[in-house]
Parts: sequence; C-alpha cells; structure tokens
Amino acid sequence: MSAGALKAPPGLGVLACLLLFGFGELSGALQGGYRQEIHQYAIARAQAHPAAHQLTGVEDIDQVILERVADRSLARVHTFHLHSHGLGLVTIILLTVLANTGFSPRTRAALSLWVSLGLLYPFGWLTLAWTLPSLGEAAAFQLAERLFFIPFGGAYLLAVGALIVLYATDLIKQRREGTPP
Amino acid sequence: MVKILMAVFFVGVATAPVEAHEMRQPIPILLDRMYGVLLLLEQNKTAEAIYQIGTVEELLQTKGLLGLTQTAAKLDQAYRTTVAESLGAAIAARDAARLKSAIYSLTYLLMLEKLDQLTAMLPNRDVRPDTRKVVMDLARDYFSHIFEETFGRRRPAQVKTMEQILDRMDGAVRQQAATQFEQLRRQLSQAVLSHFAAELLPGLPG
Repeated sequence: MSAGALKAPPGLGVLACLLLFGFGELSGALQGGYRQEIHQYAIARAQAHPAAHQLTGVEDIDQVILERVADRSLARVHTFHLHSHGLGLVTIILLTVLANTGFSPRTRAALSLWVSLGLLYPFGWLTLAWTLPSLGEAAAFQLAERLFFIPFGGAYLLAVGALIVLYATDLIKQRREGTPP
Repeated sequence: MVKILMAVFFVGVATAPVEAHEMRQPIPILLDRMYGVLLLLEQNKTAEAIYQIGTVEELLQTKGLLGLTQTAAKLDQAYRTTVAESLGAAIAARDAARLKSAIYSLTYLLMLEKLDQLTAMLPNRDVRPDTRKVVMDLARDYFSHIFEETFGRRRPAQVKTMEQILDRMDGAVRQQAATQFEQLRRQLSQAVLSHFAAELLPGLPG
C-alpha cells in the first residue's frame, strides 16, 4: 500500500458509512429539537409499565424513578449519536486500508462486508433507548445485546482482529520477499 | 503576590464548610417549595409565604402532580392525622407559627411515608437495590432539606444524633437488614417527635 496509488474503498461500504452518519445526525437533531418531547414520551411509556420500573404508587418516589428512566433513555440516544459518527469514520478508514492491501479480491470483499456489518452495532443503543421505558434497564440491555451488541459488535471486533492478523502476516511476507508493502 | 493569593485561596478551600445537607436525589418540587415557604416565614413574610403556597398548588397541578393540600389530605388519610385541616386553618388565619408547624408535620409525614415504603420493600428480594436507594435517599432528603437546614445551627447536637441514625439506616437498607432498619426507623421517629415536639402538630404517628 503506497500513498501515491491509494485506492478508494468500495462504494457500497462508503454508502453504508454515510447512512450511519445520516442516522447519527438525525438522532442528534431529534435530541436537540425534541428533547422535552422525547423525555415526556419516555416518562409516559415507563408509567404504563410500573412493574418494569418497580414504581411504588408514591408520587415523589415514582417521579424520581421516571425522571431517571427518561434521562437514561435520552442518554442512550446520545450514545447512538456519538457511536454512529465514530464507527462510520473508523469503518471508512478500515475499508480504505482493506482496499489498498495486497489480499486477494475475494478476501478483500469478504473482510469489507464483515467490517461493514459492524455498522449495525450502534443501533443497539437506539434499541436500548426505545425499549428501556417499557422493559426496564436490564431487560432492554439484554435485548440490545442479543440483537445488536453481540452479533454486530462481536463481528466488528473479530473483523478488526482478522484484518490485523492478515495485514501483519502480509507485511511479514512482503518483508521477507523484499517487496515494498 | 501570586503565592499569597494562592495560599489564601487554598486556605479558603480547605476551611470551607462541607455542605451538610447534600441532596442525594433531584429535589421534588413540593419539598423545594415547602423550603421556600419556610424561609419566607422565618423572615416574617407571611403574606408572601401564603402567596407562594398558591403558586405551588398551580405549578404542581399543571405538572399533573398532587398539590400541597392534596398531599396533606392523602397523608392524613394514611396516618389518621389532621395536617390538611391545620394547613387550611393556618392559611385562612394567616398564622405563621401554625403554618410552619403544618409544613414541618407534612415533611415528617412525607419522610415517614418513604420509610414505611422501605419497611415493605426490605423483606422482598425482588426489589432492586437501586429502587431501595431512591426511597431511602428521598426520606433523607426530606429530613436534610427541612429539618437539618432549619435546625442544624440552632440544635446541632440533636440534628447530628438524627443524622447518625439516618446513616445507620442507609447501611441497613444497603444490607437489606429489615429488623435493624425497623428498630432504627422507630428510633428516628421518636427522636424527631421528641426533639421537634414544639414545632410539630400534636398527634403525629411514631
């Protein structure tokens, strides 16, 4: 991989990153513009599920619990906003690195697809934000973990691990053969 | 010069009194406004205090919460007390001393309500520690924001005794020690009722 002949990452991968950026921006705009509405909506949904939040029927106790649920729900939307930007950016870099490696086209395509799947991981935070008021924190986290964090977060970690190993192996091989990386 | 200023600053920081009535949870609107009313009453601004009570009722109702008199009526029903009636009578007579008594009594009942919730929660293993903590914190906040804040300087020894009981109650709640909590709860009620007998309405439950 040399700077002079830098290849562009695959178009579909870049589009996926841009889509994630878009969702991140949208969540930021929603948070900024409708913070109070989201807060109220989360409180109303949590009130409809008293058992999930162990509401007591005592107004001031429940008020504190409900406010906390709404705050945590909003905080998860914020985490989605941050992660979607960060992951989108990191993925574009990884796809660019992949596009410029000496791997076979099949390996490059497989790894690019694998890395791009990780872009779904931040949606776990949105799932958590959405389900927290109705399921409670623990159950909502388990759901997000099962649907997004473990499969896609795990896939991303493994893909990055595989890329590191393959890249290092390729580098060593090229060094031994005396060819520039 | 800079060194002298820094030394003064650090001495100031080191000797600054630690905020004794640190709130553990967001202050409920009712508690905050009751404190405001008490402050006005302490400054002999009875008319302003009564006006403030009116605004509290409006504010709480617009937020879909029980007002001051509704809260008092609800607690009266639960504890067979007459705080709502005393509150109404004090407002009608513009009687500052009686109004203060009604507010202190209401605070005590609100604290008692939280402690009774904990009595019910502690034997139940399904109640999350987080939930228990919120309830204990709120009970403590009612004490701190009204009794400790008002009487901390005038009767420091008595307030400190009650704080120590509350500290031990905190520990009992964390350890889910229901029997120990119950004993401490009784101790606290007795302490509040005896130390503040002059300020509270008669006939409050222990």
